[in-house]
Amino acid sequence: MKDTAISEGARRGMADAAGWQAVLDRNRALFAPLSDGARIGLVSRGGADGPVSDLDGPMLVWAVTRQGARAEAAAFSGFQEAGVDLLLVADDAILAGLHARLADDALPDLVKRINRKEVAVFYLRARGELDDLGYEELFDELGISFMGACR
Amino acid sequence: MTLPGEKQFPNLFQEAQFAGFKLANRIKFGACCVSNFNDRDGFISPRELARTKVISETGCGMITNQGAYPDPLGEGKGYFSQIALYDDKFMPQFEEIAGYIHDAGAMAIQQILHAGRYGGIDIGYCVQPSTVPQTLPHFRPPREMSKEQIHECIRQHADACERAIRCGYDGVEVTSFMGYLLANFLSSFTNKRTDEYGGSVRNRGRFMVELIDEIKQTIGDKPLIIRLNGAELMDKWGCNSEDECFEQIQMAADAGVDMMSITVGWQEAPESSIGRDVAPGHWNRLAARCKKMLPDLPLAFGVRLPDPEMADKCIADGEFDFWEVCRPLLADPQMVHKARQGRLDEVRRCVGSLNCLSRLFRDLPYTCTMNPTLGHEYEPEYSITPAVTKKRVMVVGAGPAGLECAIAAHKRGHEVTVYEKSDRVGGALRGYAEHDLANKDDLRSVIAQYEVVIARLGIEVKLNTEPTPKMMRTLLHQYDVVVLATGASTDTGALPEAEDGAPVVDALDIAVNGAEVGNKVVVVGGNKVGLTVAESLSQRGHEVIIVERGKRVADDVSPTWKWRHKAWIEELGIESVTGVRVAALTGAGVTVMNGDGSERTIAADSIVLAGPRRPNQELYNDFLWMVDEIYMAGDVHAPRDLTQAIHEGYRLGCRI
Repeated sequence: MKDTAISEGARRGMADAAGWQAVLDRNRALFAPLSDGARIGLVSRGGADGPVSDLDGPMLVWAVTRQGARAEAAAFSGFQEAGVDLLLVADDAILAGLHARLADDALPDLVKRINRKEVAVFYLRARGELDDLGYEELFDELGISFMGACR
Repeated sequence: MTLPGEKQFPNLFQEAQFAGFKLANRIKFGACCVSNFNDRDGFISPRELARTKVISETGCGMITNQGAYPDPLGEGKGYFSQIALYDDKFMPQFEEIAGYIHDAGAMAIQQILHAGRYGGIDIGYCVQPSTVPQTLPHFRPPREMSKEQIHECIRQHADACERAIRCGYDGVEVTSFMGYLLANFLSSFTNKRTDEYGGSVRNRGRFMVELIDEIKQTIGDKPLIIRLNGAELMDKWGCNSEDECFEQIQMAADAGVDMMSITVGWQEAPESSIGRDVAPGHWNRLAARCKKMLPDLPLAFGVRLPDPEMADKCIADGEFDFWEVCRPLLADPQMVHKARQGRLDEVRRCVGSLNCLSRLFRDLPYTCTMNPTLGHEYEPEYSITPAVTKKRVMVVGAGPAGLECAIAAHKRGHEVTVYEKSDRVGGALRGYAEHDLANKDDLRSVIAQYEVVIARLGIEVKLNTEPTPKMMRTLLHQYDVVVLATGASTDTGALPEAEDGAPVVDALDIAVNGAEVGNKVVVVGGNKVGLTVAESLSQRGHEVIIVERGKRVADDVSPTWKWRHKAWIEELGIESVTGVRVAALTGAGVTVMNGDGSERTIAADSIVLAGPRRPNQELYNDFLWMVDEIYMAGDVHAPRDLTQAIHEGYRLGCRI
């Protein structure tokens, strides 16, 4: 996936830290169990046929601090250097759709798409580390604990 | 003498030749998953030996022993108590299993399973061609393999194969199923390498080709089987296309494998591959494509293909050569014999509940909904042995728990009578079967099998007969034992009393008795019963809302099915209102109270009460002083599921 393959709409969506901040503020309770330093990234895979494991380009980060979760724009240049615990990967159309719903709260739509596996979730830390950072509750809310293996 | 099944399924029961071996039939027991019955250090346990003794006697022409990891570090170890074959010290038990298989007249194959992305279960990391993180939190963070590690890994596979041959196995198998190391190299999802092991389809296949070559050189003229994906089911995430999978299948054939086994899907695949929600025969097209591409290479296949009749036809149609079957034989190890003897209607079908896999991913030994003895083969408590004292047994309730108990007790020599208040056997399972969105036939088959077996055993079933204390007084001393298998019902006492005119109906009344409901339905209770009824009503065009006191729905659903119910609810547009208490059941609908004390009424033409559930234990105290022994089995203890009903009924029948 080359950075240039990401659409302008998706770029705008991920650069809109203020819009995403409103979503995080509205869902403060969801992020409350997370420890200071927990970080979740959201990146684009370009088109719907773009591989989810071959990424490059802008990244939106939800960084948890003592003051709450903050939305920040960042760059993604590989899983190793991502500096996030969880990476959500969506295609451009989904990202644009989410961006369009920021004012109404895009989170339920995001959760729905995670459950449909239209948005891929990568775990960049071991399960034990994620539990130590307080992710268990969030996994439940996102429906990740529902997803099961070997279907 | 030709047996009826040999005539009925002439292709399945046809003798076959493979790599110089004469096989009794075209059925291969597939090592579809590991058992988790073994020791933590890779040694095969007595529990496993007992299980494999049963497996060896299933009547299959070829039997594959479950996958052993090949490396001393345990990078390839994907399951909590997976067996190992990286050292000669493991060989005695492998030899014993090969002996069991040969004693039963079958060809013995040993599978080598390096779990790759799903491995390293004890060491905190897994190895992969590239460091693509996990999409399921159960698995370990990845480390990229160096070229030296790749070469070492190939050598370890070959050494393990050579050890298997020395143990007496007639051939070996390597597997990519379902997303293991071999698949990780083959797939564009996990292989991002820029050296000769990554990039193009052929480069991604290089590891496999070198693996095949090294193993073939090591094991000489013994056959090598390879299991490869015909479809990864990861297309949604931009991974290997089916065409790419088939290009790699061709590469494996060109590299000289002796048999191909086609599989489907990865553990993290977004789509279903083997659950009950996949129609039997759905994936046959992949086998047919492979056979067309490689007509001269023996092909084994059996993904979501549980039916001998269908398998026989596929062989006749040239779609594959060997029916590869695992889970149906876990559900009923006698399936092949029953089919051969023309007793197919007595087979206990695998119902695809995925209880086995749900447990594996919780690091527990696998069990089978349909087979209570799986994993307990060496425990006398799970054996049907002649009863020392013959007893007259009254079983109250003809659901799965009652019938399991009745059958086991009858086989032990007791005189058993089953009392059932309705006009059919099956209990609440009848309702579940008729409303299951996944595959009604699977669950119906459970009831049909009970009907056949009960009739053949001559167990008396008194339908339309509900035992009461009054009736019991007329039967005093006619029974030595009473088994209550009276199930569970909605706990209306835990809900507000329905006001006059409230359109209340019980979920089981809808599910079992076909009670009618209005257009707009509120289902109270978002667990298994409520979900099943809600989904079914919604599919039939009703407008359905689920009200659940808990934080989320599906709390009592097994882990491997939770996502399915959640997806169905979403697909059907069923709204679920969670974290609320039912405050009133009125003519207008259901009034719910939120956590903050605020109330609102959800309008309904019908209110379906599906939870909470309570055990139907009333008869216990009523009968306690009227009979020598009294027991309970199934939901009457505590409302649970089909697995517990079957297992508990069977265990009780074994010890009365």
